[in-house]
Amino acid sequence: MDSHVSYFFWDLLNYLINGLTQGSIYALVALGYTMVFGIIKLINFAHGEFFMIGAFIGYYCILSGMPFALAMPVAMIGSGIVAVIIERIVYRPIRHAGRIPALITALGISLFFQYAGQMIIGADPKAFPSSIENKTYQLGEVYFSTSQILIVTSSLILMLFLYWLVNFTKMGKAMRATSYNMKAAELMGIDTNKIISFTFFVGAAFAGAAGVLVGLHYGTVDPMMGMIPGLKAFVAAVLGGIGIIPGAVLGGLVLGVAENLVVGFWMATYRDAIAFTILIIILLFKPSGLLGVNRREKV
Amino acid sequence: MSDPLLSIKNMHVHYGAIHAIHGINLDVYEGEIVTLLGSNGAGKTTTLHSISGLIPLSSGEILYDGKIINGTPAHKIVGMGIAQSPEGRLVFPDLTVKENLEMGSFLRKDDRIGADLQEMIQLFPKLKERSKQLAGTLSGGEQQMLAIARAYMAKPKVLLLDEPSLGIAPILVQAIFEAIVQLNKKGMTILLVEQNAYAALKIAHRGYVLTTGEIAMQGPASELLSNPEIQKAYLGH
Repeated sequence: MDSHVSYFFWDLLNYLINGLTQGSIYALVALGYTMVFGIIKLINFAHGEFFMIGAFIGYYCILSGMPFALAMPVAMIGSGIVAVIIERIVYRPIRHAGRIPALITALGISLFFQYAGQMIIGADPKAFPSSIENKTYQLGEVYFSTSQILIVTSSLILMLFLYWLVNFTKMGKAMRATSYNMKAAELMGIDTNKIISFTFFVGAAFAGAAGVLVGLHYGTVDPMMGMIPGLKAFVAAVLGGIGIIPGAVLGGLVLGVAENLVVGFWMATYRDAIAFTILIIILLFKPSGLLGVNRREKV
Repeated sequence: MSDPLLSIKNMHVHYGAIHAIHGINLDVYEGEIVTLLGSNGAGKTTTLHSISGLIPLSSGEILYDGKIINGTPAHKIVGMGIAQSPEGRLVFPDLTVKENLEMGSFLRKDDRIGADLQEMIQLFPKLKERSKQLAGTLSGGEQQMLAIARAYMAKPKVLLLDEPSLGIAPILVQAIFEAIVQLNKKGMTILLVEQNAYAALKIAHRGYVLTTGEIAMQGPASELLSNPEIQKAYLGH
């Protein structure tokens, strides 16, 4: 093979693997965005903070000697509980105030956690304790690490779990019913407040898992770490079609791969620009997202 | 006559600044079909939503089985024995027909769910053919059948039906009204909201006419059917 072509080929594979890793993280965070939007039509701009909170819970758990396999579920539950509390005391009272007040409140909550984090923990990045042996594997000229395998496999497991939950359990069916029409769900005897709490819990738990995985992979955590992944996940959710669960996964993976191809073949500084360029293009040409459909009422 | 199963007493309801219901009284006795008639915007749906707990009352009471139920959250009203098939059907389009029926029996834990499902499939055979289809793919009439069956799956004592004839082909309207009579014969108490006054009065025992939030007329269905004012206003005579 011509050496130019083979270099290109190996590079491409490496960028795809990095893209898949990053995309899995975006997808995990985007799932929470899209689920919460699907159920109460709220763009929860504070969602990225659950990612950060999960990362810090994981950080402190591992520091206190907990193995990674235990720290991750603890971080997920912790993030989930924080989200349920925020929903209960902040979002629920303003649920009927309209979308704009809710959006502004979400931004406020986001800033609250970022700056409370800086006040309590400090703004400096903390080194995430290496609780697993992070080896690098080589296959031909393709390189990948233990943490990358961990990110992709745990994302996959969580997504399969969510698929099962939403499609095959009574709770999942009630979530879908509530997301279609809250009043109709209430008329079935479904306590929609409980369903909303549960949705916040699951969404934030997934973001928390992503936070721990990112901490492990990149080796640092800081109170502002949720901001950019939060925004990217929002883009991913819109890209796939906000409110559509498989759309969040697709959007996350497309965004992750697109970013890494741009970084690899073009310029690293364009990484963040690409996400928002994709967002603008999608909003111009297919506002409902890649998997979005316009629903018509049948007579 | 014994006490009514469902009774609205001097109910007022506001939508923001709009005074939608002006102190209405309405009784439904066990085993009856009662129809609530009126034109668009008269407050029929508001009345049903108030009974179901979806809209708070400004004043007055709703009694069910002798107990005040207004102020109870909507999802608990279902458990008490009042189910509703809402206006516009509101079947869950992304759930299959079977899943929609499962949602109807969401609160139930008894072992009669399967038997009730069979009963509904017998009443509406179309639903069996389509049980694995997404509800959003059904025709309007089929969705209406599903909405009624779904409400029935809660095994209520009172079934509230909001405009089951709305936007549905006449031949299916007939089938749906026949099904309502069947349900009533099995002992189901029914409060039927309709714009199609003729069809509703044909099957009902008693009727109320709501005009801009007030009960303008009430009485046995046969009397209302022959009432000249009703004939003029609602029956097109």
